[in-house]
Amino acid sequence: MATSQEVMQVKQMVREAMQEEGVSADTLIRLGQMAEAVLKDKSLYPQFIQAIIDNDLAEEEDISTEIDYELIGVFATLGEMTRQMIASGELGA
Amino acid sequence: MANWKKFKKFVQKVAKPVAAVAAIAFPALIPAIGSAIAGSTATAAVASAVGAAALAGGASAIAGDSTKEILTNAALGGAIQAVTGGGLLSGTTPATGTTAISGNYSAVSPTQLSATVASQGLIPSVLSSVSNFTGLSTDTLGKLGSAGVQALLSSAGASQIAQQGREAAQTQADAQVRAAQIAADAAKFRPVGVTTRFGQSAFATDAQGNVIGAGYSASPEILGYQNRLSALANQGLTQAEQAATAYQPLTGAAQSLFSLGQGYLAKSPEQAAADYISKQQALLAPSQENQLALLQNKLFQQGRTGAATAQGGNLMATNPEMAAYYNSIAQSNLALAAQADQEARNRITFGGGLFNTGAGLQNQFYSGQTAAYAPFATAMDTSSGLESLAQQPMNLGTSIGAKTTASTAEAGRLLSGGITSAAATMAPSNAYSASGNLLTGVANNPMVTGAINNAFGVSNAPKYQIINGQLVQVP
Repeated sequence: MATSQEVMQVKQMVREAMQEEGVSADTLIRLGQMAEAVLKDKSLYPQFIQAIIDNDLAEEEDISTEIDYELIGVFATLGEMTRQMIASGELGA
Repeated sequence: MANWKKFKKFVQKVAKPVAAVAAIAFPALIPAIGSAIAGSTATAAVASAVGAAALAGGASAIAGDSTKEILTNAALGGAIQAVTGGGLLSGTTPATGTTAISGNYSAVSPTQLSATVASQGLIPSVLSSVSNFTGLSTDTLGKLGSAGVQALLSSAGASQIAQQGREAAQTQADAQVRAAQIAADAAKFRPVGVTTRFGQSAFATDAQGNVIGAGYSASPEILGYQNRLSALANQGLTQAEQAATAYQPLTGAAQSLFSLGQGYLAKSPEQAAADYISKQQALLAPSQENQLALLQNKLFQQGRTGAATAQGGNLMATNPEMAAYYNSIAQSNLALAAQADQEARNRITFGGGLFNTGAGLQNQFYSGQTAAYAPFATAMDTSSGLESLAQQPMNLGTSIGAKTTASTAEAGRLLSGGITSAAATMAPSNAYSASGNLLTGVANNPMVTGAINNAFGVSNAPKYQIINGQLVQVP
């Protein structure tokens, strides 16, 4: 089981990766919200994919029509962690 | 560089660690994924286990796959296509009725099943075996993918152990509650009814046996005495009320003595001595004058008035009788002067004594009134003593009840302790699950156990200790 200290370390890693690759907090939060929406209603998955393409986060040929729950879970967690980091002041809004 | 390339690199960097801490960073996520995969009818335990298995299963992004591989060949998607030939968007609906992990655990080893999944993939025959084992539909299992199913097999063991543990804990808790109820009932205070010649105890209890009242009733004999004493007490109280008036003369007498003593003490010792001499001389004066008249008359009758004889030396000539007379007066004055000092001290002492006497009278004014209360107080004390005699049955009942309650409570405590110990002794046995314990060896995926703990409300909060003044997290 991961510890809260490990969670803090992962958050630090995410912050660094965001800076290095130029990924904004807003992008992660929106992706997270969409991922959570897909978990609640799987029919929203196409819209989720379209949003990724529209935001130039993936190429069309990369997209699968099948739901990758692991990836969805990672996106949802990233969104939640980003919200937490903004709330705690670890990350600028 | 295009945004999508940067984003791919970002995902490759963070996906694995984020997935590893997802259960802690976002606890609601695991059951949400599980519900999405297993269907809304899945129980919380199943949803948590399936969700954890899905999140732990592929980790394709972590391995550095391309975005395409991540999005298309992630464990779940690939497995679904391989086994069922359809995806989530193909209209395939999760099987219903799979709301519990209740397969025949003893028939097939989960380790063997897991090994088969690893070696053969999720071919229909393997899916069927896993479905029989876990109770989940092949469709749901297909969505989990190969790695996810292996994680689920591990979680099945953990889940079963958790369920067994929960039931064992409930059994133990029930036993402890029953033991506590027995101990509490045994510890209830149970007074004993007692009757003596002087009275009878009276305890009141409610339907549950709780004491809600305590009292006593005096015997007719005691009541009769108390009634007569009450009459005496009334009379004594009346006397006490009249005492102040009765003793009032003492106060007047005391004031008179104080005034008289003040007169004696108002003079100095010399004044007192002079007064003494004056008063004594005044007392002697009439007799001395009478003696002088008699002497003068005698001398006149003898014709010797004015006759004087020489006394020798430088003393003048005088009449012997007259000389004796005046010498006696001088001697008397000398004696008075010698006594005057002592008499002055005596008079001052006498004045002080008058004060003492007056103070004594004043004190008697008060002590007399206090003593006047004695008849009333005696009657009341006697009546109170009779009341104590009547009260004894209640006190005896309380005392005996306390002793018997203590022994009963001890018996209840021993019984309670025995039940609790027995429950503790049986707890491991109750929690034991042959198949569950067998699965323990493979149920070591922290994310899976974390999800199960979350599902069962088990806290995974980190533990801290203060070491050398620092708050340090400990295992």
